[in-house]
Amino acid sequence: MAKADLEAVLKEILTEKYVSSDPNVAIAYVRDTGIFEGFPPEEVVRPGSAEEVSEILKVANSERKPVVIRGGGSTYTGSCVPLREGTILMDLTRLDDVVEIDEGARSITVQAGINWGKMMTILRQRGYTTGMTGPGSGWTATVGGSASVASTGGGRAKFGGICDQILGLQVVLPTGEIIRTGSRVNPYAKAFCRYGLGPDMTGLFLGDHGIFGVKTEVTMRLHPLAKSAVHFEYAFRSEEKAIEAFAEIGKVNELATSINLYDADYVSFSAKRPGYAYLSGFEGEVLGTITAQSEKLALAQKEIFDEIAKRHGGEELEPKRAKHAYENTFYPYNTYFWMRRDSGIYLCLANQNSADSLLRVIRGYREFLNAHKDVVDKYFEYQGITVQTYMRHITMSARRYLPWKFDMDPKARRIAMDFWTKEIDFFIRNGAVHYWIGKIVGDRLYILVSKEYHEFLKRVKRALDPNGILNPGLFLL
Amino acid sequence: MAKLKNLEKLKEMVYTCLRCGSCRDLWDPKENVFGTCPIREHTGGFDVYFMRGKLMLARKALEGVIEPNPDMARYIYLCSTCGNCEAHCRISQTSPGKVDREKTKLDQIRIIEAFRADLVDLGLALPRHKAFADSIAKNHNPYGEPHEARLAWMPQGFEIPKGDPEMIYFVGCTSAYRRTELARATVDVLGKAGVAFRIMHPDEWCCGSPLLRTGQRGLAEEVARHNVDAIRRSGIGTVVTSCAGCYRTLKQDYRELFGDLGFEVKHISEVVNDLIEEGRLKLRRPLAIRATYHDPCHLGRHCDYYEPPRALIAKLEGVEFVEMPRTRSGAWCCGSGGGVKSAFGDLATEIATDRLKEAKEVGAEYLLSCCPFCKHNFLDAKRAMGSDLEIYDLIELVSQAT
Repeated sequence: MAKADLEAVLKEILTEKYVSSDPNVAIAYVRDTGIFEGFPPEEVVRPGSAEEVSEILKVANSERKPVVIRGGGSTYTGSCVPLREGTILMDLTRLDDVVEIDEGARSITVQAGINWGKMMTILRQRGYTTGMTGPGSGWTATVGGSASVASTGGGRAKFGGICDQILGLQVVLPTGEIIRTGSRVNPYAKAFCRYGLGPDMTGLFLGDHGIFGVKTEVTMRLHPLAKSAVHFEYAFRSEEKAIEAFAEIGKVNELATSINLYDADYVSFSAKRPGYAYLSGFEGEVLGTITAQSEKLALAQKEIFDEIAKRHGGEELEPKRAKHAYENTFYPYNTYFWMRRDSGIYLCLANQNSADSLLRVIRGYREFLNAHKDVVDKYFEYQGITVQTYMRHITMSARRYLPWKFDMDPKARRIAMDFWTKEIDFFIRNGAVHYWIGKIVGDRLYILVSKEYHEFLKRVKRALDPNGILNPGLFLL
Repeated sequence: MAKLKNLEKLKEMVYTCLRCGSCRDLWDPKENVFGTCPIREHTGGFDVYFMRGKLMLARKALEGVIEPNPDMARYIYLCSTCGNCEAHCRISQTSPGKVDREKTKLDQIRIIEAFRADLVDLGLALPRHKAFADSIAKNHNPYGEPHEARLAWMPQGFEIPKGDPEMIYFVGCTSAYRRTELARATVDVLGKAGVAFRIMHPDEWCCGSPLLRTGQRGLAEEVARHNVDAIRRSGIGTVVTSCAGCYRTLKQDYRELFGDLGFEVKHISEVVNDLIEEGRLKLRRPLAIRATYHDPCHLGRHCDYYEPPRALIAKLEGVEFVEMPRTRSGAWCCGSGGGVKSAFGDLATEIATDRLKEAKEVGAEYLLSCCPFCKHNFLDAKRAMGSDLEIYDLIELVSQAT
């Protein structure tokens, strides 16, 4: 089908308003929030229903036209930018309504293109939360996008990531069929449960980066808003002791929604910021928030944390930062944004690892930085490592920023990208797996995963997407 | 590559955008913001309709990847420069909902106006904008009206109180030619308070706001220079205006163009507050209405001017005041600013209907504002919707209450 004919068909499905092949429109989609740059799409479409998504995919399939799925465009790793020429980019942000809040079934169903800020605002008015309360980019990141990259954020210490909260999906398969997963597969059932239908087909689409289908609705658990929040912040004069305390607190945690560790570099960096001089002389910090339906419960948990921190030489500080983070919904944006605003582009990696890897990886990472000192010193602002408890494991972020001026310089951007690739290799070889995989991490990770697993992934992909139209180029597919 | 000399000067700012998307559809109750970009909500909504995409377009134009073209100009002019994106941008804001233009690393409105100035230089200005510029050059107003008729609104027999003028009333083109009830209400209120004031006819020309907002900088500077010279010549130290656009331009743009002006600029709501407090203006007639207030972008987000209108409403007896959810720095734009009303009139009216619906939802009978341009657009929306909402400028209400 000629380009003009394809566009006419798309306009028939969506009306002229929501279809564009204008290069001025297309050029705006070559990046996410990172530095990786893809190709401008040939067409941009904004469907407003699962049925419209289905019609578009049927056309794309018959024409073997690649389709790139995009939510809020808030990732860093090139998961929602076209990796080749001649694509249709499907922007899902028109799907932005709450479909149902079912207090009886304790679930919320939303359209996949709603952002976390809107969903949480509506939920809080009703006295609820989704447990994992959204990623740092949650003001603008979409719920469907988060499910596609298996992200996590506020609440992860107690509730895990978004995938741990999802009860079911509505998905449009690459060939256009619209399916549901979870308990609503039973036409008599409400949306209350993910399992009980044999294999977990919901999980197939979580973290899939949209290669297996287009999520159009997401159902998540409802949790009542906590009635009490108690914050804690301990500082340690030894980094090793801070790590030990962090590990032990994470091990016994039942109620804390966030438990974070700041390493010696990050504490030192923070101490130089206005208002944080009191951190001078410390080498590690453990901080977070305990939430519960009563203060008594929360304080009981804190008492256990206090004992652990004290035993490891921790000194209790006024929990200013923990409180601020809790009270500002998508906490990394608010807590850390002054740093991002001052510093440049945060080349973020969400390195998940086992809790016992921490000391080894932090030390190893310092050696890695030293080995690349010339590049790091010249091109980046390095602040240190922050670690979050993610239920029973950890996520670790090296807070390294590319100043704005280097984003204007193609050579500097290439060097930054090259360094980033080496860093990804370092973390993978030290046992990490990632959410926010995208192009950047996927290209490295899938060199190392077993051939059998990659072959299995290819077979599933072929079964669901015989023409390989959805998000081609990810996971080395 | 076509030269983008104005944009080039702001290149670092352009690259400072993280593309996080706060400019798309931010919901943050703490900042009274529920949705960010009115243009995005009433168009196809592609990225290029809101700021993230416009900045990406600017970046790619600077890199020479895409040449300036008429469609690009259309997208860059599809922005009411309301500043909602800027006020809630996680980069540009220096505190929640407030942009400190001296300190910010990312000033979206400045970038858009610079981009437009380059488009004008490249011959890509929109025809409707060129037309009002021609009228300003010829008639000193954008409406094609004769300059001699600039005072035709003046009530017959009205006499300005005698004495040394305390202030200049800068009427503005929209109040002088289109929403003349504002000008009449303003002189009525000043007259009742016994304020000796002066109107600078024939020396008052268009303030230049429509030109500055649409990138037509050469003529804008010319009219601004004329007005500043005329005000300075008068020797009067205070200029009061009932127009949000004139206020922003006289207070901020003139200072940026010419430095210290040697006179102060006040909005009429501030002046009236003072007159009531000083006992010079008596509130004699209680009203019996339920009203809400719309923050004009040029007063609110552009000048951080939120409280005086509310303080004035609070003084009016018999006004039950209700706030809309999107208020102060989160106020939803009426849709008419930045040249949108003149070039994309239907779109501007459609956006204004949002605000009328919001006012009705909070149970208001009156939608008040402090800007003739907002009122004009709201009246268009009222007609289009068949709404029974009363659309008033605050100074009209004061005129009725005194």
